[in-house]
Amino acid sequence: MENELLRTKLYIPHLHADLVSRPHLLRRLNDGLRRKLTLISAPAGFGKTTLLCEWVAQNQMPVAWLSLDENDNDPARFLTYFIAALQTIAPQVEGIEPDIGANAVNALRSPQPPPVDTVLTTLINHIAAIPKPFMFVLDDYHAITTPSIHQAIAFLLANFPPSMHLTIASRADPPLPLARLRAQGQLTELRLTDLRFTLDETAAFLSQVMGLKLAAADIAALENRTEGWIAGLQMAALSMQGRDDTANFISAFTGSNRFILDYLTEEVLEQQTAHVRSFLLKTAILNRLSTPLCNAVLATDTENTDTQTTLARLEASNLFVVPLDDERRWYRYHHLFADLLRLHLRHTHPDQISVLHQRAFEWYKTHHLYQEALHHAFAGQHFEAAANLIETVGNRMMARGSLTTVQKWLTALPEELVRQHPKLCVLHAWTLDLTNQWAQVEPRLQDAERAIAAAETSTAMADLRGQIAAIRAYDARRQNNLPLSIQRLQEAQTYLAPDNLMVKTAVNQSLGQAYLFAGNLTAAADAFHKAQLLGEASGNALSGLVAVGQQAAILIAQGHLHQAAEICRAAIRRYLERHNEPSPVLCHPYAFLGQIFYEWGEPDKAATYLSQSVLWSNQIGYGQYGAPVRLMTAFLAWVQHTQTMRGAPLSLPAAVNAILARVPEDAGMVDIGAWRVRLWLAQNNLALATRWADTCQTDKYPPGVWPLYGKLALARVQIARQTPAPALDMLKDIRQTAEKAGGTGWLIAALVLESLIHWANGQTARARASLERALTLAAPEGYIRTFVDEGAAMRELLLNFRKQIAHQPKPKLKDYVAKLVASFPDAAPATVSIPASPQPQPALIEPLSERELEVLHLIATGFSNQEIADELFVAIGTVKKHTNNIYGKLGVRNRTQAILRATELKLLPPR
Amino acid sequence: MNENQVYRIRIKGHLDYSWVDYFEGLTITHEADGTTTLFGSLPDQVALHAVLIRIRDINLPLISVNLEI
Repeated sequence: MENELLRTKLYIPHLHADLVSRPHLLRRLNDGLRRKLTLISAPAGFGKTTLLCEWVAQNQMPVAWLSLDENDNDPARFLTYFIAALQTIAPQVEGIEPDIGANAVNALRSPQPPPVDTVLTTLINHIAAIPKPFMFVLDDYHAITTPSIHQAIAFLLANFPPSMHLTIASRADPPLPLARLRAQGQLTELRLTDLRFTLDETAAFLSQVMGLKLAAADIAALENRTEGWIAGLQMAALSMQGRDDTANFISAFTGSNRFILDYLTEEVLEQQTAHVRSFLLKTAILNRLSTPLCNAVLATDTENTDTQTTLARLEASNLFVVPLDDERRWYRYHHLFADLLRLHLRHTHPDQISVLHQRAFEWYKTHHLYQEALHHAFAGQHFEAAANLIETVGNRMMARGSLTTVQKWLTALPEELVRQHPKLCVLHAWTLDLTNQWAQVEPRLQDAERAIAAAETSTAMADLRGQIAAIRAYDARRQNNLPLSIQRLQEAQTYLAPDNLMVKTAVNQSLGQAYLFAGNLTAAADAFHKAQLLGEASGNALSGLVAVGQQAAILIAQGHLHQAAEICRAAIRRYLERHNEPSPVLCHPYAFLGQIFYEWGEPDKAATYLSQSVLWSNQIGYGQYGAPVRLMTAFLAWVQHTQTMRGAPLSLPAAVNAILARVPEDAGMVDIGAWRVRLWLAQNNLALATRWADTCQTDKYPPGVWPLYGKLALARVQIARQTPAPALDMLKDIRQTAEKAGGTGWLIAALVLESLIHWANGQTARARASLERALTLAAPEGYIRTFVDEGAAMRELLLNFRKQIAHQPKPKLKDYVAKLVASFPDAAPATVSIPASPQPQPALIEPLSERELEVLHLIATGFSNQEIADELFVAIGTVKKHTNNIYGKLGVRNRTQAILRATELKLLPPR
Repeated sequence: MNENQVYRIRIKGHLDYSWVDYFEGLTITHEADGTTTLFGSLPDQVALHAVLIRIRDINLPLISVNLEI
């Protein structure tokens, strides 16, 4: 049923058999196809839609059509319909996926839909890929009053996909940047003066379409009186049809001062039989008409075929009824006529209005069309009924992304009524919280508690208490009161009903994050596991898979690589069993599998998983789920580097390479920055690594253990800066934190770095001790690259270690070491060489400044002046100034000499 | 933006008195020059805009809108 209604909004209205063709307007419209926007802006009754239909019919382009009404003011809903309209043209255009935008629709149908801009950007990219030119029509745009939707359309116009042409029909000029488009020559406008009937057109209409034989003077008089208003002419013609005394009518009509619509409505209704008149007035309250719905409203027997006949006759006689589908299941009144009928109803039968709306409400409710049902409940002032329905379906609607709609409903209810219904109070509190109206949340929660106290106790009330605790937990989190937040979340868990999957998932997600901040890995993993099960149970694949990813990340930190891989693989298996085909939501488990396979020394397999993950994530492309994406992109860049260094470069799809090239330098994001730092250090780009380290003030780190990734990177930078002592302090700190939290992964990484520092300082015994501990921890989980990526120094250390344990009975350890040694490439280039002791800059007459050192490093890496300018965000003139200073201080004349001299002076590492 | 202001709206043509509900209780007066005056108080400018949209929606030719002092 819902699909049926959706289709009526997408239906391109039917062209009447006889109408007055308007070739001069069609010419203007066709000419306008080369501009971005066509605007048809005129009052009701000027044939806007009819003209568009004629245009669309004679034009060969694929057309996506969306008829708007006041219920479409919810941005998520609007976008969903927009996408649905796009999907209708898929069969006609090769190269456009039939489910274009399906991911966006799924995202929108969630409790916290992504921001409109994000969805639009992804959507615009998809549209840009449509090869054939096509048209998008938005009819009745004046129904839209939500600013964010206007902004979305303005955004679309500013980032316009080349194959699309947009047409908007409206009763008023939409609040879009029309002046700018006009100035740019990107706007075609048809307005009232263009659309009103000319004398010729009036004559053609009256004689050919309406079959009236009138004198020229009469036609002129009518045209004069109606001023070319098509609806007015139509009603006048209808009044005259089948009348003998047309002359009398015309003189009375043209001689009267009465507002013509007034005059004519009565005339037209007079002409109808009592039966039809009654039908028209009673069904006028409906936005859409179907036979069963009309029968319900008229309270006639549903077997009665009268209605079907009446509707067909109304359509045939051109009496303002418009079909909304080919099957003639649904119709609507011409908007103007409906307004007039409703007015007439209020004048003649005001006492019936409430009852009529109630009947419509009941019918829609039975057919699960809640938006429409509530429209009638409110129109008929049946607030109790509305409240009861919202109580039943409100949560469901919110879970499907209709936050704005639910909020609108709740604010339309009388305040005292809301206060009596605890469920409504809590629902309202949710909408307020999710729309950041935090000041109003607590009063509402207290209303809820008062209502609960007044009601009888039952399990439903317990669930509400749980929700109240959850909302208060979010408040505590905002005040940075972590312990209180955790306490309230736990309280929520005890109260929430088992079937309240949506809130329980949210609570567990929040608990997981809170425990991570508090440094409790096990509790966090447990909470994420619960969130995963709930996500899967509620059929929300994405939320389930995000939770799987979160668990995998924790397991990796805990050093349980096999377990991490297994939960990812199991999740993928479960998904495929259910859905048969992979889809972008699998980017989460794929990302972590990639990371694990790389560690296990299978770089090609890792690259496959990682690049697929990166591609999929960019498809989903939105906010809160984006973080692992950036992390995996940084990680993939690292893998690409190490493989290139080993002489086995990755071959990645072009799209992935494009993404890797685009990624900006993320300073400050803890785990992402850490991978970038490794890459910079490996590329001898100490300047960038140092800059990252300096901006990453340790005391401003978020609490908990996740920053350990960043701290390890900081230690690396300190090592590269040739300050091993603070590095050792930092590593000791990391070890202790990691041990306390059970983070074996971090522990192994810290031990590896420690062993290398000791080795470089000639402290062989300590080096071997740290190494042995790392190896013992790492062996059962198959770590390889953590060791091998440290380069020649690690290889030497391992060989030394192997010699040392040669006579010890440690077979497993020996095997492991042998395996590691064999994993080094044959000519292993140094990744980061760890100098034995600090090397002061030898005396130059004038030492290079820090900035100049940065530039020097970039020159040595092979960056052109422009690339250096881009890298450092300065003008190219500034770069040239720096290079000149550098040459001056080094006493050289060009880049090559500069690099040689700098290497001699040990300002650059040997190549 | 003071509350409860009095407006005088003029439209072309004589509008039947039955439209008084449609216009939120504004009084309807037929003028000798063939125009109609809608007159009365509205709670705020939001209500005024709603009235103007209704005038637009039935294509009533609008002549003037005045705030009565």
